[in-house]
Amino acid sequence: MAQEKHYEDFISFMKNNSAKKTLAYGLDVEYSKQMRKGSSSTILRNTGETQSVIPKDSYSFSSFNSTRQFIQLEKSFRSQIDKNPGYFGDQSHYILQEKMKTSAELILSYCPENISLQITNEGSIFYTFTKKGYSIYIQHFLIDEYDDSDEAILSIFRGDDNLLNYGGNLSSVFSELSKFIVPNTYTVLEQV
Amino acid sequence: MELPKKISPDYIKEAVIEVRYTSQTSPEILLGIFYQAFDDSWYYTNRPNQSVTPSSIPSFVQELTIRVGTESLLYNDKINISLLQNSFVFTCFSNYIGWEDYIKEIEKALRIFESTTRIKQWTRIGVRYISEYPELDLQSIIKFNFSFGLPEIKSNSTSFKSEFTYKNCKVILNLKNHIPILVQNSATKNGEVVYYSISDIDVIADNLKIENVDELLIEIKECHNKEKELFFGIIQENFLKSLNPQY
Repeated sequence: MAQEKHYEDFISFMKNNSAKKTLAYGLDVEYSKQMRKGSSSTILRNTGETQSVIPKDSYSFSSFNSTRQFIQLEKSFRSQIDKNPGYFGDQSHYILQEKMKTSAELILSYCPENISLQITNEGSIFYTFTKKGYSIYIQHFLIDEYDDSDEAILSIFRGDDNLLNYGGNLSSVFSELSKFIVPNTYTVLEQV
Repeated sequence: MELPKKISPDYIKEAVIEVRYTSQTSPEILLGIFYQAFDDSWYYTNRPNQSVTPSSIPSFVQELTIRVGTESLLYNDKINISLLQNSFVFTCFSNYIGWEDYIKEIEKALRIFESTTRIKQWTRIGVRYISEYPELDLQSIIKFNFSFGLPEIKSNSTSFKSEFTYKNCKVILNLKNHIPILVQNSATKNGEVVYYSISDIDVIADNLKIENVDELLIEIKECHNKEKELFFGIIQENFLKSLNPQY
């Protein structure tokens, strides 16, 4: 139910901004305001760690789980492509798979707790994953229209609060994501 | 002590089997040879080699991440195989499938590797089972008591590691008790703290000189037996009863 609401907010954002999905832009004014207010970041000091709980990924033997997640994503992607061959036009399956592996690997570097993907008839992969109480949605567009890098849209929720919506190329989207979650570490940049 | 064949629930988070080998063929060529040897019931993939270093990360939390080369993987609907240099690492595709099915799949894969005639010797076996117990105190699960010079102090959480030799195998035992873990509540989508206890037993048979898969499988099963002896040897009897053991 919560995921459906998040997706409705996500789609509403898309429609309200009347932006073509391949247009690169950012919309994070609200988030930036919050950050400037004085977000705290948890850091590890020399004595007395400020983080009293351990994120699940940092102990859960994440290398095995990460490999498992990667394989399950790839298997799901392959299965969905086979069932919906027209979603990505004439692009070769090999290229689509390699593109998917790029975004999947980027997401997995954030050690998500749960992750799934869905391909859409817009020629995109819609990832849903959770991390430390955040629900994060990334739509990676694999449309082969431009020579530039792939574009993506990021949406972050905590509970029912929509914290961030951002659209841009893949690299900038993950840069925005890194303002919330640091990849390959268990450090959290908390908002106040 | 009679060892159960099956317990339910098993609480097994990971069951990792690693076998190391020597070969006179270069690793990059071996990869192609192994790929060709597996039929269409197996899928091959590799994980891209990339690192994420956004400049937005404050310098005091940056960590250097290096991945050298890609990770090559073979998988079917039951198990995954990581193809490392001179090593195969087997894990379950999803949840633990039980030893009988697991060793069957591993045997199938090992025989395919052997059929390439490129494996000179099998040199090391590792069998590692990691069990995870949410909201359970390790002292109610395992015959384990931890205290130090101040006996009146009761630890809120404990991590314990021991390495020892057991029946000619090296064993690495990790126990963690009442560790607070931040997870997402699936209903509310908010983060919440759940306390986990973990037992992690890694049994390693090293310095082997095995030249055929039949002998290798015997050794793997032996290591698995030792794993079970250790696990069921340290488990509390009352807790074992709650796992509905089948003999």
